Amino acid sequence: MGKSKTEMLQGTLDLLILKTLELEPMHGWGITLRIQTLSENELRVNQGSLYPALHRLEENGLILAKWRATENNRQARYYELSAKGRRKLAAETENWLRLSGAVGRILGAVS
Amino acid sequence: MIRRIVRAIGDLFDRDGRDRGLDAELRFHVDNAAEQLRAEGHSREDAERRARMNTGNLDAVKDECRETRLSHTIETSWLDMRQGVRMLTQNPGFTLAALGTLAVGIGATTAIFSLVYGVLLRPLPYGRGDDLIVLHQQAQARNQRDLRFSVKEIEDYRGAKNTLDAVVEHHSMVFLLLGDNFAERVQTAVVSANFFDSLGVKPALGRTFVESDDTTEADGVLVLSHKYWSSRHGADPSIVGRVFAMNNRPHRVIGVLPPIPQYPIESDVYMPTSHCPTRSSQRFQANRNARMMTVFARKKQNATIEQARAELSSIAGQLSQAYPESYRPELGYKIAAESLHEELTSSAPPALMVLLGAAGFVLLIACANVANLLLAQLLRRGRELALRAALGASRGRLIRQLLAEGIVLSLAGGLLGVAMAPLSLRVLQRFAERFTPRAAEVTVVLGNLILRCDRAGSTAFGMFERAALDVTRPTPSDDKACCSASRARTQ
Repeated sequence: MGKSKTEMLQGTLDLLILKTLELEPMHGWGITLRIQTLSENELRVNQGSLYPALHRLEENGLILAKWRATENNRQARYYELSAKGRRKLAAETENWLRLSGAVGRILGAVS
Repeated sequence: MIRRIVRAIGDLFDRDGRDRGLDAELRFHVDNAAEQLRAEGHSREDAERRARMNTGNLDAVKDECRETRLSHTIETSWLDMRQGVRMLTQNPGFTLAALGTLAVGIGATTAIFSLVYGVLLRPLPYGRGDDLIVLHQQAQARNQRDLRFSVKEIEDYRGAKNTLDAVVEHHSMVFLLLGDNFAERVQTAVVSANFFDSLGVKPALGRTFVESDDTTEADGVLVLSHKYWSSRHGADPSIVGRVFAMNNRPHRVIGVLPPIPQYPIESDVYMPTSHCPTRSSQRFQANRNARMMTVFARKKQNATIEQARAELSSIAGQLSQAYPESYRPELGYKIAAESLHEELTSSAPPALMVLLGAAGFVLLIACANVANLLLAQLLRRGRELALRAALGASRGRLIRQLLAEGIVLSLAGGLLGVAMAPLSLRVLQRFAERFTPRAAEVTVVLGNLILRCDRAGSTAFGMFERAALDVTRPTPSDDKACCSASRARTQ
């Protein structure tokens, strides 16, 4: 456990974080769970890479961070998409779909 | 970006707050992970242990988070710089040698580049300076290339209306200027009423001449040069309206020029043509051979200088036919037009280019010398660097530190060089004055300064990148050097 079952491509994590935050602001733990659930346990996010990625995205202005109370009344750092992050997500999603489609076509091609 | 900088500043002042936040955030994560494990049936202790294990090295994660921040970059750069300064002060001999070499190299190129820029590259300080041209009459058979113009000739050449917007004249005289309690000889430029308008010069005070000033019946008027106004009249703002006597008639000051270099000659005061006793006499005006005036023209924006030359030449042809006694065919009469910029600098380029080339080599040699010094210095520091690497400094970190030292050195050298530049520039200026009246305008300009800093910076980067890559690369020979050095110490 701990290691992701499927190795993640460089830069994919940023995209997944942005996507996860699209609906609502979330804290780091929430993002971990969400990615795990949505990928049906196929992807596990290592916090060793999650938090640096979150801080990098924040530093680049793609997401904003705020301390807020959770439903259990603990203080947690919530991240939400900025307008810039939203634009980035749209652009990157399109890129990703095009790229993965192309790779899939090549791998699926009958030789 | 602004938000980023604001936050970086906040971080710098509240380092503890930033780190506490990071701690709390990660603790929250670990606690949640432990809770989940407990829910899956692990005992409390076991769950906490596993959760911490899964997280990996918390300090490493924190470090990595911190490193994404701009404030972190600023902090480490600042540390590197301080370390660089310390290194330099610990080796004063090396530092002095390197700084001296850099300062001389950079100072020389700065001075010469300033000169080249001021004389050759900078636009003329006039509105639409590129359209200004100078006319010359030439008698080629006698090898006379810059004959002046008579009143009649100026009137004739004003006929080149297709390519020229304006044709203005200038000649210089020395007159006696009488004030209430002083009398002095002033260099007086006698110019057409539209002289300043055509050159695109706007007055600093009052106004310049208008057509109605340029008649013999009009009151005498004067425009003062900025230099004369400030040196002889203490830059008195109420000078406009003051009346002086000149050539036995009153002359009222109507304006002061901005501080621009004056072509073709530095003058104290300006007056319109009809108030110059010589220029306004009937006999002088009627004499086609009384050539006293310099003539400038402003060409139309859509006309080329070749078109202007063609139109002027056709007028010259008509003149030669109409007045054969003034333009005897055997003299080879011609009219020439040259852009003012070209005219002012045409004799300067070869000498300046040679100087610029020489200065470039001086800088090159200076850089090579400093690079050598640095390399020797770095080899001596092999052990220090090995120790740092052993203590966990990454290669990138070592290179950054060496680069910081290089930047400190180069910036200091660059500053010294720029400080030296004005000294050498004064000597150069006197030299350049022999070629071009533009030498007086030359200064060490700010844009040039930035270019200089840039060069100082890239000099540093080039040298250090190379050296740093070499020294921080672990090679067998490095190890040997280290071993033998340590053996030498134990013996």
